[in-house]
Amino acid sequence: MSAPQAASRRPEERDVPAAIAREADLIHRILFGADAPEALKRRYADALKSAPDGADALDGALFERNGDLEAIEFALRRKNPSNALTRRFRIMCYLAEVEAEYFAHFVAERNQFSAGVGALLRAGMRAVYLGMKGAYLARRYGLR
Amino acid sequence: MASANVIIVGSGAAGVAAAYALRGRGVLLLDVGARPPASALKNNFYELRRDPGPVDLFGELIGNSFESLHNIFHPYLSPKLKAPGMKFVLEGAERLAPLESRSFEAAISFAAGGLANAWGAGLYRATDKDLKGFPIGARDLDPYYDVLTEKIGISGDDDDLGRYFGAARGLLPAMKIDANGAALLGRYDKRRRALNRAGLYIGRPRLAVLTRAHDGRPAYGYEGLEFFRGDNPAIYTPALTLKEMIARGEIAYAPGLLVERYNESGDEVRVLARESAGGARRDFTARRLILAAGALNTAKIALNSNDDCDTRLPLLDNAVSYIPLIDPRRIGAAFEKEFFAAATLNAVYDGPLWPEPVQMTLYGAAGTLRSDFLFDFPLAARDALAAAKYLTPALVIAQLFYPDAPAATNYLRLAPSGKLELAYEPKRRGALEARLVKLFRRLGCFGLARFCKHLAPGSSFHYAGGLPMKSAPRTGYETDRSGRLAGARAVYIADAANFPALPSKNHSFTMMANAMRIAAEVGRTLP
Repeated sequence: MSAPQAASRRPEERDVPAAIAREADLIHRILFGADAPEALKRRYADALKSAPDGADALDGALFERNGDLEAIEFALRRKNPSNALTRRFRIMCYLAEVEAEYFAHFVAERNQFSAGVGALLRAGMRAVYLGMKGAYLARRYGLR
Repeated sequence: MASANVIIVGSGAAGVAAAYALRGRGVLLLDVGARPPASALKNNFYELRRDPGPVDLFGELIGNSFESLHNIFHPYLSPKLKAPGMKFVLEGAERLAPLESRSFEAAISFAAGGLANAWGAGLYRATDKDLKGFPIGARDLDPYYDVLTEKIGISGDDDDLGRYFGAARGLLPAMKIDANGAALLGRYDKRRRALNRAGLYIGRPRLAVLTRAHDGRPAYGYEGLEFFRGDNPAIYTPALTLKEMIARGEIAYAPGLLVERYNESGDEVRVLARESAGGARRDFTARRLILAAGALNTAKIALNSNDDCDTRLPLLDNAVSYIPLIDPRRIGAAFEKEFFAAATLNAVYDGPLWPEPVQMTLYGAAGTLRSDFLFDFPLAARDALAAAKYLTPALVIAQLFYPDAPAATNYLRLAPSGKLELAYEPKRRGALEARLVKLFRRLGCFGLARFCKHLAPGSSFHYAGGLPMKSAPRTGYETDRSGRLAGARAVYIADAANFPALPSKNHSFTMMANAMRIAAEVGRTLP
């Protein structure tokens, strides 16, 4: 009897360029609190390669600095929703969302009214703080 | 050279309805006819995502060419049309029907079944008020609405929207509604009188979705997969009737052909086509020609046939706005396993802010990927993710379609390059949306007018008007009430190109009924 096929066909095993792997890890950590699994990194690299503006539309140094990437992304998004950094965050979200392991990050499986209201209140306060911080960092790094 | 009694061009909603009226009478249907890929998606949208089993969820939901990431890098395409399983709907359009347009984002389909493969399945009868400016009335269409209702199997109700949606004859029982819809409808029932005085009416949609087995097709199972697969037999699309007529030998079907022009000589119409793959020329003749290639393509064929790069033809489109609303009581609610991903309810605004009734579709966001909209929240990325999780169950989106009438600024023309040139002045919107935000507040749904989205012209996919029906046509690009092009002997227009105006109400059902009416008239002229 043959083994069942993997849920999502895994991208071919191969090395992901170090800069892309680091970028994927950083974004994944912001969104999901841990480094990106290897398969997701490979898929992320493929998605960037398939994009019309490729992977080089973004200053790679952004990921090397120790700035708050989440704050910077938020500030850039408020000025231009399709800036190169937000695009990368969006790609990571799409790729993660169709993996069963991430289901609970996207979908409430049971009624969670209080948790929901709490998360939204926290989100509102963080938006004010990160908005200001991001605007400052974007100015400091000369990002638009 | 192949010949037929009647050649029909295009297999969308109008072409198939015309063919259905003339089936068995020597019909040849010419079509490009892209087909959907086989979908492996079964079960339910959420169960699949929690436990995909052997299903390649990445391939089905994102696509091996990253199709679902389309809106990250390209102009907005509805979540349904960018899904990998729905890619066939627009396949080949850029090559086969190149456009020159700065302001109009047109979607053209060459698929078997046309744009209706991705429709929301809402089918509504037009009233006389909707047909203002048409040389026909609702009574002319009623017999054809009845035949189509029986053939398609339309679910719905006769409620507060009955006065806008026309007769409820032959409807199947209405669909189950989701928790958001049920809550909204319950509150509407309690405040009906005050809301009606303010011009707001709410009721159940009429949908081409089976609530019980019908005509050999099963009842809908509330899988919620509508955004990702277009081949659920419980949801009617014209492709089903096309397949059925071909299988029964009731029509001849020639796919892989792009019709470019026609000319009339003597008792014949000659139709000139090219193979959509290789480009080889193929000619056909018929006694009658019915054009139903989609409003834009049909107008292009007419202009091309006259080698006319000067005339500007009217271009109509339903301007679209989205109003996002939150029902706070539903924040953090658990996902519903069984739901329909398209219309939950309909609403009509019939008040002082707009001269004609404006129809809305209300739906939730449960049937799409959260990633489609989570970065629209004005929150930092991690919080946007949490908001998508907790707010999505509480989200109700009202989609408005504005009616349209001809205007000098809105036109289509055949450019000397052979491309179709489209020009359209975007409408100013906002006042009605702001009013509706206030009205929905009375129903416990909260929104802000500044979060409303006004989509670019062309985003409705409801195009019309190039070759309008008139009581007394004045130019060779108008048709009489039988759909016959003025100046032509045997060329008929059956799709929405013949609409002299575009009501707010989804026009698909009226286009189909009118196509049947025109085909029946054509049938009467045949020897």
